[in-house]
Amino acid sequence: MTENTLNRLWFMRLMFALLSFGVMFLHLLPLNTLPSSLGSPDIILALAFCWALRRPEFVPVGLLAFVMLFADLMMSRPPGLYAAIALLAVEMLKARASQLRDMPFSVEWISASIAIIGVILGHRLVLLVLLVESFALQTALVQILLTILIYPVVIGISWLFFGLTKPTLGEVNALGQRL
Amino acid sequence: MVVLMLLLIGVFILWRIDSPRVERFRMAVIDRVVPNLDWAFAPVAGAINLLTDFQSYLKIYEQNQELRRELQRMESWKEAALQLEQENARLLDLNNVRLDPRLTSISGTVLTDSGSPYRQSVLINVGARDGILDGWAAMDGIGLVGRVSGVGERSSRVLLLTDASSRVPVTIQPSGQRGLIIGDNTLAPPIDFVENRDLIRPGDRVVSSGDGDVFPSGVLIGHIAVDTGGRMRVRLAADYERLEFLRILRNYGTERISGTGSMILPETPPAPLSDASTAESGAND
Repeated sequence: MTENTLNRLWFMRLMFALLSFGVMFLHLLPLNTLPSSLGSPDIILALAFCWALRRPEFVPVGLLAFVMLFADLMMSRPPGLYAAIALLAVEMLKARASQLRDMPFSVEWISASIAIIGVILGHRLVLLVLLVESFALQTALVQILLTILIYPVVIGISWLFFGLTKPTLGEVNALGQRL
Repeated sequence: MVVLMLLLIGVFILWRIDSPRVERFRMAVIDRVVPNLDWAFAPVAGAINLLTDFQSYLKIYEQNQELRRELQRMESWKEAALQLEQENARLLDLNNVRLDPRLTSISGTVLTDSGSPYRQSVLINVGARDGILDGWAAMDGIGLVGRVSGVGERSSRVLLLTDASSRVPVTIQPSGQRGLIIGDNTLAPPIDFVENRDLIRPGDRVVSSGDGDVFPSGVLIGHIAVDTGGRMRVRLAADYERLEFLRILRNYGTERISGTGSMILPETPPAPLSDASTAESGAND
């Protein structure tokens, strides 16, 4: 089992940022300039939820805000709004992380799904209220579905490559505090 | 946490109030980041394209048959085109027409796409450094692709005709009807605000009209098609499947003729003839 050292903490924070930038990079590749109504999963969002539920300290608020704002700028979304909603959702999940820890996976998946639906639909709703041009509902629904489906995959990859697991009973962090 | 939330929401509200300034900031950030990653984009995109190309090799026999049939059809078109070309050259010669000499172009390669399923735009590697201005038209080899919206120092964003916020005034030939192409995130954007639909048939050419002084007029956009709902759409001539190189048309606007009087009468009335000149002309007679 990996140790909870300070090095690991900062390594994982760095990895979160790098993974997010990698996902953005893949999104920006000029592979497909055809418009499609299918939409693509928001992997950054799934990643943030997954890590925040398992190890909240790996996804500090400031880092998450920076990454999401950068994603907003790069992917030509209205800057700030999506980031703010995602931040809110992640903080709410973090507050509930200790309760969800003892629950089976299905409960965690459902609460993450609710958060995903909340973020994407909330984003559209605010845009609608503020009369910003908004796009096909179908695309958003497909995006929600794909993001929910990709969530277990993200967990699997995080576990496989970064050894990310739920904290076991009595585990302590680098400063000796109970997790 | 609260401070960050307020900050983010503040950014959003700022964007809502003063969109151009924040969009300029966005363009500056992208301009700083993306061209530096150029070395990484090209090989990765190339490798993935190679894989997809390999898949299409598996269907090569079907493709071959299809291409043969298509070639046969094209032979007859080629004949027609050659005849028309000769006729066109003759007519141009007769008229002594000079095509607009100021309509030159500058080419750039596509760096990235928009990265979001809601937006249809691409980033190209020419920018203010190369003299690109906002609003100029972008073509691939054949037809109009979109217009420049957002210019950075080394890169600029091209909003595609398929984006939901794209509106382009067009003329439909040969009937000469005016209309507006309204992007809706599909490959065949609908055409609207047409005066008389009955004059338009599927297959008619759609060219930019130059209304609003944004685009040069007469750039091919596509052909009319009618969808299952009976709505008129434009089948775009540009190959949206692989946008690799784009040509940006330099367009410095057309000269306007304002004021009618100066066309009918010279601005300053001619000076009354002096005695000497009348005498001279009289002598010449």
